Amino acid sequence: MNFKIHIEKERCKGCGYCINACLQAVLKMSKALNLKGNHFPEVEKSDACTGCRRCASMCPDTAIKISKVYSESDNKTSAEKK
Amino acid sequence: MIKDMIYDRPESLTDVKTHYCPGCGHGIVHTLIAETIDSLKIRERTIGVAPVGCSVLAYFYMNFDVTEAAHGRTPSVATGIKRVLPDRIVFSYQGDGDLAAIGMAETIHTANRGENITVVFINNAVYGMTGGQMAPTSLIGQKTATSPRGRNVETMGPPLRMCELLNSLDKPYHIERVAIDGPDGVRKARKALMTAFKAQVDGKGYSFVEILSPCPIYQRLSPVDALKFVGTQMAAYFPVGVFRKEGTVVNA
Repeated sequence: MNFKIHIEKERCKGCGYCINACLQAVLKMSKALNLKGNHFPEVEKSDACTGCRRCASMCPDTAIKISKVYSESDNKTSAEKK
Repeated sequence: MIKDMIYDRPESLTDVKTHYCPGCGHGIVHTLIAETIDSLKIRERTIGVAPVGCSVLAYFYMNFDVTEAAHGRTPSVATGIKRVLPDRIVFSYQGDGDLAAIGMAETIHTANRGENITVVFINNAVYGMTGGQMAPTSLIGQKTATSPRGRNVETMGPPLRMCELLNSLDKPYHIERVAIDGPDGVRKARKALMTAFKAQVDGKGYSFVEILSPCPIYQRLSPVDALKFVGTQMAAYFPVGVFRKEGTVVNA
């Protein structure tokens, strides 16, 4: 099971709280800009994400959503959960 | 592939993008309040009272009834709403200029009456909306637009500690101070807000949560350094903790 971080880049103002909060260094600041001219975080190593929600809880603009992703081999666990 | 959300936008927040500066603590506290209201399932009977200050447009962002009060009169308006509609959950959301400066009298008298409302106090040690002037809660030596050489205790007095001030009254039920200085602080703030709202739902009386909050623009720091400023310098002068629990003083 992995975790996927969804970043709504147009909401982001580039404060960097999420990058500062992440203990696994999953996120890094982008070189690109969004429509408002702010840098936004990008997922660099999604495998390292532990789903702790520290980044999302620090986001002042609620631009971060996190979901679980089950792969084929995890089908049993996901079925049990449902 | 099956997807399962483990963190999503709370239902009590609208989809509007906020006008706050990058790294503003208001956005974090709005989310925490929305999460608290969602988890207590009281969204349809909650009424918020927005202050004058940076969070004056809070009614755009919160997906329940929010009204607006004259500068500093937020707890009085909340008192009125609560007395007319006692089944509603009423909270006032105030900054330090609104609560500790112009609204000091209303704040103290509402606490002294022990009205069954919740007051959320955002303390960022500066006036944000009007351009970074000195607030009653600005730290000693802090440079602001109206104290360019730093706050001088001789002429400007020391910062006001609101939790300690209200703790000297008899009636309040819950008084707590938390600091948004990182994910741990956010978790404690969520817990404090939950306690405060739960006290009101159970009809226990006045609850007050002070949240030390970053204002990167007028604390003149980068957002991440503003978090450190809140966690070290502000928390050193404004000690974090529970001051009154279930109506009894725990930390005088």
